[in-house]
This record gives sequence, structure tokens and C-alpha cells, in this order.
Amino acid sequence: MSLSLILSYFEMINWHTIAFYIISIFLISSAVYVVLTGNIVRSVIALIFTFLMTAGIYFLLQAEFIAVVQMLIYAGAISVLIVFSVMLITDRDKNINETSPFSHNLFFGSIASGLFYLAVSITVHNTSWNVTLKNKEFTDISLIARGFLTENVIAFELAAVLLLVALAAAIFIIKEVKDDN
Amino acid sequence: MEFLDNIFLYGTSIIRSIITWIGFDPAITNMIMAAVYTVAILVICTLVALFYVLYERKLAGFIQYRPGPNKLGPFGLFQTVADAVKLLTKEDIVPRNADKALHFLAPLFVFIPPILALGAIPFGNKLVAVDLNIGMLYILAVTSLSTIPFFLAGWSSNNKYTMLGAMRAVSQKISYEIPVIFSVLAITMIAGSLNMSEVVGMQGKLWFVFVQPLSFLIFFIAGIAETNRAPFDLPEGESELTAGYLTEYSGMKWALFFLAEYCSMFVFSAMATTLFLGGWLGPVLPGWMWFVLKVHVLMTVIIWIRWTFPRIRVDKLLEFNWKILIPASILNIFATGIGVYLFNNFF
Amino acid sequence: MLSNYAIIAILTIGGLIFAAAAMLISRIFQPRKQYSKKTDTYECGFETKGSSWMSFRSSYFVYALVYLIFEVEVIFLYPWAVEFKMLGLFAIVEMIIFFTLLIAAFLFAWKEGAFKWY
Repeated sequence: MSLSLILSYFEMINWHTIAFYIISIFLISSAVYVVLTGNIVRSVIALIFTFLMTAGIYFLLQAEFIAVVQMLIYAGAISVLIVFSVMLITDRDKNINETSPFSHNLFFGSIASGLFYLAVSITVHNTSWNVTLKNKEFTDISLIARGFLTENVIAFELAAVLLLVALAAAIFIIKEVKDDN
Repeated sequence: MEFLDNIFLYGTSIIRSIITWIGFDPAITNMIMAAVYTVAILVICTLVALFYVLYERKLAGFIQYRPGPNKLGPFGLFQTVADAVKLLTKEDIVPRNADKALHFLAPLFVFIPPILALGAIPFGNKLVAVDLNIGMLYILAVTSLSTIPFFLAGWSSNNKYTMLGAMRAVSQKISYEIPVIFSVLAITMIAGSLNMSEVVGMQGKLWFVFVQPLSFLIFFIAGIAETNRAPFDLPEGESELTAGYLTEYSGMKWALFFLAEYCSMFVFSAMATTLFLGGWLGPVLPGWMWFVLKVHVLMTVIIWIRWTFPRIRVDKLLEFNWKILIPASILNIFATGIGVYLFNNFF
Repeated sequence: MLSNYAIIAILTIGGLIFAAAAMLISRIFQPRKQYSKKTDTYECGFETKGSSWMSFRSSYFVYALVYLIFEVEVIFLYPWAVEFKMLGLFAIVEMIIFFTLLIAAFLFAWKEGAFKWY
């Protein structure tokens, strides 16, 4: 087989699609591992990996701001939050599949997730995916800023209020825990 | 002069033309070029670690009025090479009770955040692997991922010292991430862009360190804390925690953590140089040389601080962050906002 | 445009390969004599007592929570900062409202003792 023939094979490949499938395989398998593993810390690590792969999907869609947000908030901050909440648990060596109260309701669990799957697939099927936004509108951060500060300014301020309330609530809960000890 | 300035750009374009000449199509050519950039960044990381380990020991010797390493080669120049060879031949010990898979994964991942960050830092005019439009935010996101390997290392070793060290490292890193983010935000307000190269381009007349001195100070202090350097090196404070999260690591795995620490120091200095000290800009010398010089000055200051100040107490460490650095950085943003507005409208 | 992300992916893979290769090469040269005392958990020479996978104080959780809230604010603030010069007085007013809420949250956390080590 000559070199030029091999090269012509390469030219036919759609790299974008290949990257999508590779990322998807990693994404789905790590998400499945999160659910199936009995070790809670391994589960958390697999969850972080899932977050990162989701960021990869966003990068593929050229939504770089969303991708970076995914990395910063989910893989950077939420993961630490989950890690620290895992550190609050006392008997971490046990298998979470046995200790978790949710893992005994296999019947209702499968019905609920089946319904969710159905709802998502109906939505996906009924949406006409003919969105032709130009790349610029996803990537240009100044357009996002204009959106925040003109049309969606109320939502922008409400987000700040929401964060304030979330922090206050969390601190009250923690305070109760501290007082109990 | 012009030639020296662009020497690396010429190098990459020569490689690119060779690849195209062989007959690869553009997509493959881009990937091979990406591999070339990756190798370049890995070489930079390794060289940085090799050089600065020796440099730190020499400087420490100078500060403490002793010669430092001086047996191997002229002025002990081959000391780190010998150290590297020694580490390569050390036995890799994994504790019996450890989570072996995660114990192996931690050193594998620890190296990735600094490499990804270095990819977006411009070493010279157009001398950058990935010139993202949101470069600054990307670097912040990538460096915030560096908490995970440390937690993994500490947890998987199943040792009390490593566990405590990891918890301290993670809480310290996330706490000091906030002032870093806010001080970079002040720069963004002035620059009006998140692209690293554009930010450097704007500093032609005046470096941002003169516009934002408080911001630079906050960034520098928080950066030292984030890279776990003294006086903020509590996660590995040897007098109380043996070696912190590294206690159960030996040989090459330990060396990888060490390499990552020096690389993240380098990344942080490079960020400070790019955002505050005008990056590659400077007279006479070629751009990349200016960049390396400025980074070297910052690295020297970090090392100098390490060998001058004692380690601070753990409660003081976090209180200093929450009660001084964060309020100061928020006030700084206020002042910057009003200042920029007044400057734009009345001058 | 897309090649940017390909470079990020290749950087990640390159980093992994580098670390893996370093460990692999070291495998060839290193001695391997493991015995029970060597693979003990290190605790300054004493026998280890209890599991080290114990539970930690809730203060760590509060740090993570405050960090998360600041991070989310940052996502709103960065686009605002990029456009700051263009928006003029409106941006200043926005900033004052947004930051007042942020500072209120921060002061509340401070008052409730979230940042105390003990």
C-alpha cells in the first residue's frame, strides 16, 4: 500500500465526528461507572471525569465560553463541594450500593429513569434542529455580556439574589450541624 | 534582530512546510503541529524544573551563607541531573492499604493542568500554542482543576498525614483562587479583552502593574499560596505532617509531583508577567528573551520569599485570605470600575 | 478554529503519555523488593491505629460552598468586565447592585463565623 493511498484514507475521515464519538464513549462509560461503583470516592472521581468530558462536547460545539464555565464551575468548584461533603460521611469504606437508601428501590428507580429517558427522547425528536446561529454568537463573550445587561438584566440580578439566598441557607444548615456537635 | 525575535516561529513554519511537502492534508498537518507544540511545552516544563531546583538550592545557599550543591560538575551544575537519575532508579512503594488504582492515577493527572495552562500563555509575539479568545478564563479554569490530583493523592494513600495534607491543600487552593480571579477581573475591566496576546499588546505604553499595583500584589500573594509555596506551604509542612499528601509517594511518582509544583510556579509567574508586566514587550532584546527574563525575576522573588519568611499558622492562613485579601480585591474592583468610568468620560 | 481544541486535546494526551512514560521507564530501572514492613502505612514508626478515612469538620464544606458561590458570580462578572468600557454609567449601576448583594452574602457568612478555623 503506497503512502499516498494511506493519506487519501485520512482525507476521507471526518475528524469532528470521530472526536464526538470518542468523547461520547468516555462520557457515557464514566457516567455509568459513577452509578455502578460501590466506592464513593471513585464515584466522585468518575463524576469529575464526566464533567470534563461534557466540557469537551461543548468545545466541539465551539461554545468555548460554556465549556470554560463547565470546567470552572462543575469540574473545579462543584467537584470540590462534593469531595468535601463526602469527607463529612463517617463510614466511607462501606459499599454505597448497600448503604444508600435509594439503591433498594430498583423497580421505582427504573420506572422513573425510563420515564425521564422517554421525555428526553420525545423532546429531542420533536425539536427541529435547524438552529443556524453564527459561530460568533456562541463564542463572542461581549455578546453574552450585552445579553446579560440589556434584555436579561432582571435575570442577571435575580441570579445574584439567588446566590445570596443559597449561601444564607447553607450557612444556617451548617450552623445547626455545628451546634449539634 | 528581527530574525532572533521570530526564531521559534521560523522553526515551526519550517516543520509545517516539511509536513505539507510530504503530502499530508491540512487537518493532519495541524495535528502534527499540535504534537510539536506539546513536545515543546513538555521540554519547557522539564527544563524549568531541572533548572529551578538547582537555582533554588543555590539561592538558598547564598541566602543562608553556605555554598549549596557544589560537588557535581562546575558549581554543582549537574546536581539535578544526578537527582533525576537517582529518582528514576528508586523503588516505587505502594502502601498495602492504599487504593492502588487512584494512587497510580494521581501522579498521572497532576502534570496536566500546568501543561494545559502553558499552552495558552504567549511566550512571545504570536508564540503561543492555543490563542483562545477567552484565554484568561481558560487558564483560570484549568488551574482550578489542579485540586483534584492532590485530593486523589491524599485520599488514595490511606494515611492520616496524607489525608490531612490533601484537605488542607484543597481548601487552601480553593480559598486563594477567589482573590486571583478578582484581581484578574480588574485587569479585564481595563483591557476589555480576555485574549492573552491582546492584553500584552495593550501594555505597550504602560505596564498594568503601574495601573493596578494592589491587584498585582493580591495576585502575587494568592499565587504563592495557590502553588503551595512557603510561607503558605502548610499542606506539606514537614514539622507537623511529614510531607503532607506526598508522604506515601516515592521514586518517579514523587518526582512527577515535584515537577508539577515547579511547573505551576512557572505558570503562575508567566501569568503575572503576561497580565501585569507587559509579557514579551521590551526594547533591544528579542521578545521571548524578555519574557523569560521577567518570569525569572518573579521566580527569584518567590524563592527569596520562601527562604526569608517562616511558615504561618493554618488558621491565620485562611483568615488572612477571607478577611484581608478578598475584601481588598472586591474594593479594588469597585475603585477600578469608578476609575475606568471617570477616565473614559472626563479625560 | 476547531484546531484550537484539537491542540488542547493533544496537550492533554501528551501530558498523560509523558507521565506514564516516566513511570514506565522508572519501572525498568528500579529494584522491586517488597516486604510487609515496607508496604506498611507510614505513621512515624508506630503501628497504625484506626482507619485514616475518617470524617472531617464541616468548615471545609463551608469553604467549598463559598468558593462555589464566588465562582458562579465570576461567570456573570467576566462578560460584564469585558464590556465594561462600552456600557458606561449603566454598567456602574449594575456593578453597584450586583456587588452589594455579593458583599451582603460575604458579610453574612463572615458574621455567622463561616471563616473561623475553629
